[in-house]
Amino acid sequence: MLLGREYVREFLLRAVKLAKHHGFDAEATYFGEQVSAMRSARRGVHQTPIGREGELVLRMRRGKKAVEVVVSSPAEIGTMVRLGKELIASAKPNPVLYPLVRQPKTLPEETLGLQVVPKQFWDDLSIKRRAFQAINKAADATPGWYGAGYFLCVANETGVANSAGLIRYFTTYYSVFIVVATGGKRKRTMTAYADEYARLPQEINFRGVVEQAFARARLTDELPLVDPLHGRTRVRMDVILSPNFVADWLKAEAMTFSGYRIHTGQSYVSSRVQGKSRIAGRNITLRDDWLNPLCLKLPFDLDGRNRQKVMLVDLGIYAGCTYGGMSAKMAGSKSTGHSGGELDRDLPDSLVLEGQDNSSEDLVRSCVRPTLVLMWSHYNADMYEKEGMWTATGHHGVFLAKGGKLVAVCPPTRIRLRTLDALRRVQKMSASKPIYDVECYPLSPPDSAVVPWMKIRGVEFINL
Amino acid sequence: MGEKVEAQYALRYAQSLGASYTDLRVVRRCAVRHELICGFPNPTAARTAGLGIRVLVNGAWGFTSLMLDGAPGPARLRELVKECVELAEVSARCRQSRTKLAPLRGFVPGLVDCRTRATTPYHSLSLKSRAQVLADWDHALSGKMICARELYLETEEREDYLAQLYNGEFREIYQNRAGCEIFLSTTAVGYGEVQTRSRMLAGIVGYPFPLTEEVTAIGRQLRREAVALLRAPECKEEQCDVVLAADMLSLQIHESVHGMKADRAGQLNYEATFMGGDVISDPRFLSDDGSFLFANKCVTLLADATRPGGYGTFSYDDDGSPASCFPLLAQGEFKNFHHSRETAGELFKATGDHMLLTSPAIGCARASDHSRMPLVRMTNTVLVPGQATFGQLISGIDRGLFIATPYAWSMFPDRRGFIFGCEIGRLIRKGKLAGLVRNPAYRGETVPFWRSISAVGCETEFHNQPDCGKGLPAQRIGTGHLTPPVLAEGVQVFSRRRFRNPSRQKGDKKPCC
Repeated sequence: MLLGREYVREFLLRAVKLAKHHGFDAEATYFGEQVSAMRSARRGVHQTPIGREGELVLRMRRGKKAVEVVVSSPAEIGTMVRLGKELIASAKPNPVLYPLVRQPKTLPEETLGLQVVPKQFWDDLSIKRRAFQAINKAADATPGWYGAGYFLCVANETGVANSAGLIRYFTTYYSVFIVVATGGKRKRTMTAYADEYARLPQEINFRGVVEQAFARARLTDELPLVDPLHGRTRVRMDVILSPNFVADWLKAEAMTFSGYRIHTGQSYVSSRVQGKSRIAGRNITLRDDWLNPLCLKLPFDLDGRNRQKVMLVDLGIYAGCTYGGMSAKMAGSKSTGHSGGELDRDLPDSLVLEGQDNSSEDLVRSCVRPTLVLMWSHYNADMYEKEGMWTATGHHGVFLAKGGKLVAVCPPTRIRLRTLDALRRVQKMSASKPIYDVECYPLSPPDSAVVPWMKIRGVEFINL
Repeated sequence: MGEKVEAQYALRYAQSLGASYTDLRVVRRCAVRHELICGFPNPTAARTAGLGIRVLVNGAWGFTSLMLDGAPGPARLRELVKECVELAEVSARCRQSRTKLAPLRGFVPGLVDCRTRATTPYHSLSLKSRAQVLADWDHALSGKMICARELYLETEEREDYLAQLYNGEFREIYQNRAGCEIFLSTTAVGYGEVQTRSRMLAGIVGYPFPLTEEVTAIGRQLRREAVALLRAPECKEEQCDVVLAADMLSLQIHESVHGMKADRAGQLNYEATFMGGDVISDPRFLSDDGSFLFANKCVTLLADATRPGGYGTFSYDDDGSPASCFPLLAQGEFKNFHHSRETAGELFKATGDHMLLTSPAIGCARASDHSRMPLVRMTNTVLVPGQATFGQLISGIDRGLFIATPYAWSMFPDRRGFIFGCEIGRLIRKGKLAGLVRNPAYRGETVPFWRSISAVGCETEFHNQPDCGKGLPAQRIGTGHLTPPVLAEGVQVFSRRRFRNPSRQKGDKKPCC
């Protein structure tokens, strides 16, 4: 269980009060999470952990100086505030400290009811049991294949308070179910993938996910195996990317729209922010919009400011970037409510890419010439940030589409694309769907992306 | 370092609920970090603690955790144990067979205290001195054309407490470590380019920490290189001999060794839903006698959890197995996976190989913190040094490249191949180092690459990696790499910036914009 609104508020206020007692202005943030997962492999479920983490960060300020102390327990605050006093004596001034944020008149977390996690969220164990039994059953019915699953339920709570009277709290929660079928009739081991993302575990159609993964596994057996790179070091082809592939890519490239990175010249839009620079095709409209119904609801940032909707790319034209309190002050701009607590953590975290009215099947039907369909991105990397050179391997199901249908299955294939170029070559998109964080490192802040299946013309594939 | 948890009470209670094995871990951390981003300071002090309980019931694991707010009372402990047992019971219903654990090596009930008071030289620096040296380092990184600097100095102390109930007998293990991380990064912008140079100097007690003045000199060198790289020629695409600097090779080793963990072996494939399997299962590389020649004969790779100074150093792993040193590759031939008690037991079930149950490779179960289950993790990986000095390594190269410092990397599924982008390259011409090249990258297939290594240097460096990621939910943990530079022949190098504009294909319509 999370600590809950009242406990977190009390924890925050106690920290702020103590800092104030020692003569400091103070800002405190609390972030807590409960991660409840079940994971299986060849021999059935091998992990069912519940991870509980929580941390209070107290920033103690005196004039232009500030230090932070981090505690997990209210009992430690006193000791740490005393350590903070020692730290600040030797600290250098920080000119990008912003004025403390005051309590806003409107609190969307209250009006939108974002301060509780529904009771049914916690009732996940019987659903997980049935989901993993469904995997075993499907594997029994599909000779040569076995299934592995990952069912994740994450709930977070975030609170902020400061000595200017601010006190805020919200929760967020989501569930993910992933199935990978492994095996096949060939010498080479093949894999097939399906997933579903939802807010509550009850909303996940786990039978549908299992059925989809094993249907793709059967399809993998039926279709011929073709290596699009056979004998070549690189090939250029059209591609259809699944939403989780698109999300991985755009989330990696989201730092492009960090105000800090733009201001310091590290982003590839740094030289394009003046005037109306085209950085994508006309069909690309990308914004950071926590109010989108499919996004996780993140009403304020770690400075305590209401999060704004920020248009990043409007019909292909660069439109704006995100700032936290410190990066805004550094750049001489206004915060957009995207502070992650540090100067360089002002990233968009509710990416919404407007999709179109097609289904993923429509995208396949539109393939006249050979097109690769990539289901899942494996180990992506930004090889050159200044131009958004991004690479990953299509894994867990790479199909070749031609003449309007899937005609072959392919081994894992590495894609390499230059973001600026690829976003100008998007031909078709499906409706957008939500993608949430699957990896879930301890104390990683929640984020979401609402993105479509995407068909892109002329993308480079390379050997390994 | 905090109140005592009534561990034996909790573990006996779990036993009474049907647990055949159970353990409880408490992880406490204290850290002080001085950070400067573009000159703006952010000093931080942290103190956190948490507890995790793991039970094996009906042959399946349950695991639960909480942050510690003082020592939890008996009622809270009972609640946690019940939750944990319930998780295990549900898991057991989704398993076809019971989990088998290998025996716990050298188990003696009672108290084992491995704590020391040793700290790093940077622990003794006063807070004022730390702020001052950081300012000096920042100054060294600053200069004309530098647009961003990021640096920090962090000292950490961590104490791990493990209580176990094994065959009905109770044991407690205390161990601690003091570590320090220094990170320097400077980014230059100009001539349409962005170039970053960085260096991580991190380790625990025993690591050869540089003096503050030496770090300042490293900072100046990084700044000079970042600026010089702006006007350096782009790395050309070609196949050539490459000398990998120790920091670059540590990443190469790290990413290859990820595929040498037993939980990724084909018979278990615990990473099926995420990072995939292991290259060791690839039948293409098996010889007639069933051995697997992973690398050239000059390569001997050890997993060594006993080596002082490394992030993979400990006295006992999170299974309670004592730290060990064992070969991963001996003269190029694959010898061992990293194991936990679980993977050794499960692979024994799958293969019937009794040697697995007493393997020295058991002892690699580690959890990043209290809130995550132990997984098989690499410890310190040591490439046994060869005879060649750096000069000798490059002396025989007519046309080649010396590359250093990882920038970005991407692995192919099952670790069969890789692409590594690097921060800096230097041409080798006629056996000597020549000018800089920018944006170097190289790629290849893992096994052929390791077989192409023709010489191993003799001058080793310790490179600790503080945040190696693995698992779902994911965990970050420290690992160590003690490596000399090596010479690899016929490597495909290219520019990580390189991008050919796509040629218009027949039947293409005009781009939509």
